[in-house]
Amino acid sequence: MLELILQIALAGLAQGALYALVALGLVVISNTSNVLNFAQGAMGMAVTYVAWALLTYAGAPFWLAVGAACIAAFAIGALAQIVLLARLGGASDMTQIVLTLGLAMLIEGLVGLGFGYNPRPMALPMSMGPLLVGPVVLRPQDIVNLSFLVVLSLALAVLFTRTSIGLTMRSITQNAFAARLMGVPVERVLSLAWGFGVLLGGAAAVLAAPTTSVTPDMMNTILIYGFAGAIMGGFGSLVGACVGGLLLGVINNFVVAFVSPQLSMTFIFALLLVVLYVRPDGLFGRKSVRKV
Amino acid sequence: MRRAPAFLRVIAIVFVAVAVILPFALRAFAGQREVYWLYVVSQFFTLAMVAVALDLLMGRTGQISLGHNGFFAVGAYTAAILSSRYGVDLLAAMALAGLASAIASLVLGFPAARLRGHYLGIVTFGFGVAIDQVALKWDALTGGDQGLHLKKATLAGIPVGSPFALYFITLAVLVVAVFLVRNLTHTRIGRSFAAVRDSEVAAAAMGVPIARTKVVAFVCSAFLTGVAGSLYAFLAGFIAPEDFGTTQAMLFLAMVVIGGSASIPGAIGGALVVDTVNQAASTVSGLSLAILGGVIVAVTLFFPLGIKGLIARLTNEDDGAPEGSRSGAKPVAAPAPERPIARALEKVGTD
Repeated sequence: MLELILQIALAGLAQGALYALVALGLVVISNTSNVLNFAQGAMGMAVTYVAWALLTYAGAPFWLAVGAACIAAFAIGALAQIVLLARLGGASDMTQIVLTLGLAMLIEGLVGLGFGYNPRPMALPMSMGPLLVGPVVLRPQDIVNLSFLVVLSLALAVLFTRTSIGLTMRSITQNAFAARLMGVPVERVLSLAWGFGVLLGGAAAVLAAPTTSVTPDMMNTILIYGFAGAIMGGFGSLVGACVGGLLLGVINNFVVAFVSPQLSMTFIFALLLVVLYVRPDGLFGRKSVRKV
Repeated sequence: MRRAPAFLRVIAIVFVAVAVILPFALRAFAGQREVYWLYVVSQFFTLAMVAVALDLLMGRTGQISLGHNGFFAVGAYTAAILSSRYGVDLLAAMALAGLASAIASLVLGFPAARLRGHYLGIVTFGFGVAIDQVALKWDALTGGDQGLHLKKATLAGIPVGSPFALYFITLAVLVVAVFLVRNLTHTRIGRSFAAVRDSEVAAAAMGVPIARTKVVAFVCSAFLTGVAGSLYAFLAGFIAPEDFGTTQAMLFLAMVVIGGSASIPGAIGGALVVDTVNQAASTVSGLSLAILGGVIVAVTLFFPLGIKGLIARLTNEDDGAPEGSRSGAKPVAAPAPERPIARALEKVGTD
């Protein structure tokens, strides 16, 4: 029984790594530009088609396909900020959410038009067997997910604490107006932040593809889990987003295993309501003060 | 009751007149396609009702909801269960469907009252997905993926299950809903909705109970959406979980965004645009999603006032424009002010 529980928790952790990646991307974007990117999933889905095409048609190695998808994701994110979001200025939360949702519909619709809704299988071309850690089994997929989360979150940590770009991003989080006065090129930094944020979402989408198959709506559920993870973590804390995503993955896997696979989203939704009711600023968030 | 501007009254009268004449025209000219077109237009009325209800929440109170497909589903399932199991009267089923949706909205509304726009969007979105799953899983009640067949509708014992009768009932309910929402906005509650939308802090300082106002807006909007859902179920005669996916929530959102915020004719016009695009493009998967997504992006960026802005322009022309320009070609869209977003925000922003 203990082994089973450990196994479920570990597999949940590996799935949660994807949610954590999405959540991290969402938080990087919302921390700097104060926008909830509902198009994160659709953008990730779009670049997954890049990886899928490279793997299937060009016979590219896995790392090249992932790399190309990440670069494409970065470009899409930066472009979205420069071309669309920058024009909104200080629009209301609602307007921004509506814009990113419209963008998500547009991307999903266009990909659906181009490639159809038939799921396309995509396997990770790897010559690695399952790994035994004591009594539990780690699939290669799980190892890839978790190592991506570790590498990318470490890279984020370095970015935010050790580089001048990260410093300017944090300054915008703290006070965008003051940052602008101090000579921070806010628009340029925001487009970088959007690039990094969507890159994280794109990586999650490519990693999810072997399980979900490549379809225009492959990221819809994962995006909601990512949001839920970010909310649990307080939507603002990168560590919180990471922990929130992993936690959701584990809880979700227990619900799937012991309650019902169909009701997983319902349980997560109920959990989210409870968390928000008890702690409106998430498990890691600080209380926010609203001003006129 | 306040009187609407002359232009809007004309639009309303023309709309109702066309809607009343249409079934007779269809009977005369449409032949075999009569029933189909009656069905399409009746379903449009239910969508228009959802648009008006969602606009009450989003446009007038500034609360986003991406989960109205959930309320629509609760209404539809309540009506379907009552009808298929107990053969309940149409009117009673409608009222109970609205009530069930309103109760569901309380579950969502109380935490939502504490949430900022950011979180609210996600929570309501999650609700829309969760309802879908519950409908699929709880098959003892909902029939699961087998769906539910409704009995032919009866009103006070008289059978009204024909497409012709249901058409007029749906139209009548839409008209009543529009009157209710219109009058609600001129009451104390309606004005507190606007106060909460324009500035929560200022509204609180003026003594408006923020949390209660938000919950009331949620309940009103959900009630109307639930009633619309029940009519949808009676019109379709059969419902299943896949009728109420998140795509539907996106369509609802598109209706309100295209309509422009806080405008009943805008919302109904938005519903007309979305329904037309969706019906016309339904054969190619992805097409309607792409078109509507593109329209939403364009409207948010360039025409933030949507159809409402268009109407405002037309009414202004009616009031004071010189003779020559009035007879000129209709403007395709509202003119973009210098800083369209900022300008629009002063009118529609949440804070």
